[in-house]
Amino acid sequence: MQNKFNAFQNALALFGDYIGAASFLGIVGLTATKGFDGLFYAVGWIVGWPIMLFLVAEPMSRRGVSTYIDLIALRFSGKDIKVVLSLTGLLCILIFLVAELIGAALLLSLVTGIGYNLSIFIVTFISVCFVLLGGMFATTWFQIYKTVILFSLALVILFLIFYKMSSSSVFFANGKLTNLFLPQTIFRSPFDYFSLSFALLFGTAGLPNILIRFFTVPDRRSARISVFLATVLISIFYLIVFFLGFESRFILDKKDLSDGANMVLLHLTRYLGQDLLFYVTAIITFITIFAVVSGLFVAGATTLKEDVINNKKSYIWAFSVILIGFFAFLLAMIFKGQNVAFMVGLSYSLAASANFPALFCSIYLNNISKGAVIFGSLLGATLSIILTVLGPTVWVDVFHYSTPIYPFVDSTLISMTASFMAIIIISKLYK
Amino acid sequence: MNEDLKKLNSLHKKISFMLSIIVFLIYFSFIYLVAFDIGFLSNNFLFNLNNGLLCSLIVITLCLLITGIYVWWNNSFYEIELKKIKKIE
Repeated sequence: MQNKFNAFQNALALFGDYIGAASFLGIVGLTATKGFDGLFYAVGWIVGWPIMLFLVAEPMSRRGVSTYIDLIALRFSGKDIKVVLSLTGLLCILIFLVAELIGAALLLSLVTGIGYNLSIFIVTFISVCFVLLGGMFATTWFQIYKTVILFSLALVILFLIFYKMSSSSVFFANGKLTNLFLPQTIFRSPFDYFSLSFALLFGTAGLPNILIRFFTVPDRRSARISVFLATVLISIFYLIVFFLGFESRFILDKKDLSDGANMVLLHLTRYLGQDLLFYVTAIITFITIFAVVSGLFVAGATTLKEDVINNKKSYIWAFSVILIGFFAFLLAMIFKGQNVAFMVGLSYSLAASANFPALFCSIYLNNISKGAVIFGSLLGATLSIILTVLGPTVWVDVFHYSTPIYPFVDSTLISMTASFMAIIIISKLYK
Repeated sequence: MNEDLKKLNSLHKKISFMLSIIVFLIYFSFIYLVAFDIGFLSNNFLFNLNNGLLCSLIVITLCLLITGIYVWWNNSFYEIELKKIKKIE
């Protein structure tokens, strides 16, 4: 069988699916510019894994389904609920995709010197063509090789840092780590920290593109082991990446940290290993991003084709891919200059508000109705989008108003609670 | 559904929830420090390594440990009990 893998191979593939531009470029950038915020995202993403395994992956595998839409379709019949949940899932995928495309476009414009808008177009165009011509580009074997290469790259950069500096300047020099927690500009209030941690904690469980790989191993025993191994690998990788970002604070001068600070890692590699390491890193990062992007395209287009449009004709698939590419392109233009880790955070927030409450209630609560799940999911998605648009990210950064209407960056605490409440209360009222 | 199977599954659910709540508590006590007591996290505990790094490491390690416990319990207890019940049926 080609699609059955042992636990360790599956863990490498899980890692490959999960680590994209956001984790690699975004966390380095966030750590370099905002210090602790990079580590904050990393810890949240790691903690999301056990929650996903305990609460969602296990019940899904026990019922023998591989996507959460199928799981909910087991409980409730009818096309409407499938369409609604597919659309909210699609939105999460779209924003995730935008983050990856921004990373790829910035990389392309850094390497070749062409403008951001043109490179975003080129990157989107190439990935759409890739997906249309090659179908499932991100096969499991490909992800496994990619993981090994990416991990080795991170270790090489780490080694070079230690080599270039004496160990005393890395750890013990005065005033280095003391200011690590001081600058905080993404988040303005404790509310944002709590809200975003809800998003990171429960978003992993609600994101449709991560869970699929859980089911490519022969049995549940090795599936669990592979999730555990993947979590270990991801933790080690994030710690390395955090350290790289932290070191780039002191290596680079501040002018390199513009553009949402997404390219800090590349500047660091040029400093450490001249052009050779720079181009090697650029190529590996491109491959990483394209693998994640094509996985997202395939997941999105499959959902759009089978659950929303529900048409088996093959041109519908191409149409779905192009449609997703078009919207991703538009959004990537709008969100120019945002940090990619932050963008992925938005997609987690949407997943935690729209998908997770619906999923959780359909697995664990007995007396809930279909209408309530649909309404709660839509309410969560709408609130999350509206509050993000009214918040500082879009209202100030994109529309250039001076003060945001909604003061906080993240809205998960409000939209997720509203979604849960709506599902439970409506089910109680209309039995 | 068989009675033993029901009991086993409810035990499984209980353990999943309990471990989730532990993870939740650990993570949010960390977030509480981040949100309200950033000063504590900026203090150094050793040379120039500060408490924030230490706490993040502790959170990550504990989460890995709990995941490990869950996987171990499932693979060495739950699956075996499940097999026993299936054999009786």
